[in-house]
Amino acid sequence: MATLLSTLHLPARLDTVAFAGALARHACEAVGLGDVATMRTEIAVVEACTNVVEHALRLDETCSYTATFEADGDALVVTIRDAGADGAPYAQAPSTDEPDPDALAEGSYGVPLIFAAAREVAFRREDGHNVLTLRFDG
Amino acid sequence: MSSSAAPPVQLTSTPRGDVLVIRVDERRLDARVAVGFKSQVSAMVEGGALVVLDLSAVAFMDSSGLGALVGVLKQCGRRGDLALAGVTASVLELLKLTRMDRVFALHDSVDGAVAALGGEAA
Repeated sequence: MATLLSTLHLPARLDTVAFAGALARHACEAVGLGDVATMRTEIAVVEACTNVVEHALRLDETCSYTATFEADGDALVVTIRDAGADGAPYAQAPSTDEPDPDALAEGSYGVPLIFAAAREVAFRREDGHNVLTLRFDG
Repeated sequence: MSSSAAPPVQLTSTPRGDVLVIRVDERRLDARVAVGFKSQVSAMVEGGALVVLDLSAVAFMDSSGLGALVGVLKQCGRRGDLALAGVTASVLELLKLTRMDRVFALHDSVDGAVAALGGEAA
C-alpha cells in the first residue's frame, strides 16, 4: 500500500514548477532512489507540471493544480491532477526514433521525455480532471 | 491570464579569436526563461558564427531549454559551429534521454570547446 509523502498545491505559473521538481528530489531521497533516477524524476515531474501550466491551464494563475508524492515500496509514485483542458498527448507513447540532425524540431520534446524518464506513465480523465500518474524506481 | 514578459537571462559573452563564448549564468534553463534565452543569444550570434555555450552554471534544463538550444544550433548554421561546454549531470541526463547528446558537440571545459572550434587559447 502506498504511503503519502506530500501533496503540493500550485498556482498555474511557470515560476512555481521548480517547487514540484525540488520536492520530487526530496521524495526520491525519502524512497531511496539513486542519482540517475532522481534526475529523471525531477525532469519528468517538471515537464508534466509545465504541460499543465502551459497547455491544460493556459498560464491562468487563478487556476491551480496538485502534485502528490507517494512511496510505494522502493518506487516513487507522482500524481499530477488539474481541472484544465483534456491532456490528450499522454494517450500514446511517442516514437523513439533517433533525432534527425538535418531536421531538428525546436519543440515537442516534453512528452517523449516524460515517457523516457518514467518507468510507467498512466493518464486518465476523471470527473473533469486530468490525472497523470508517473512511477519511478531504481 | 498571466501577462508577464519573458524575464531577462543572465548571459556574458567573451570573444576568443573567431569563437564567441557565451556563459549562461542561470541555474535553470526552463520554460520560464527559454524564449528570452533564445532571443538574447540570437542577438549575440551573427549568422554562421562559431559559438561555445558555457552551461557550467546551469543545474537544470527542461525541454523548453532544449528547444532553445536547438534554435541556437540552427542559427549557427552547421552542427560543427556550436559546442556546449561544462554540461552538468542533470542536463546531460536530459540530453541522453532525448538522444540529443549525439547531436550536440559536448566538451568538459570551455577551453576544450574553444580549441575544438579552432579558437584562441585562454
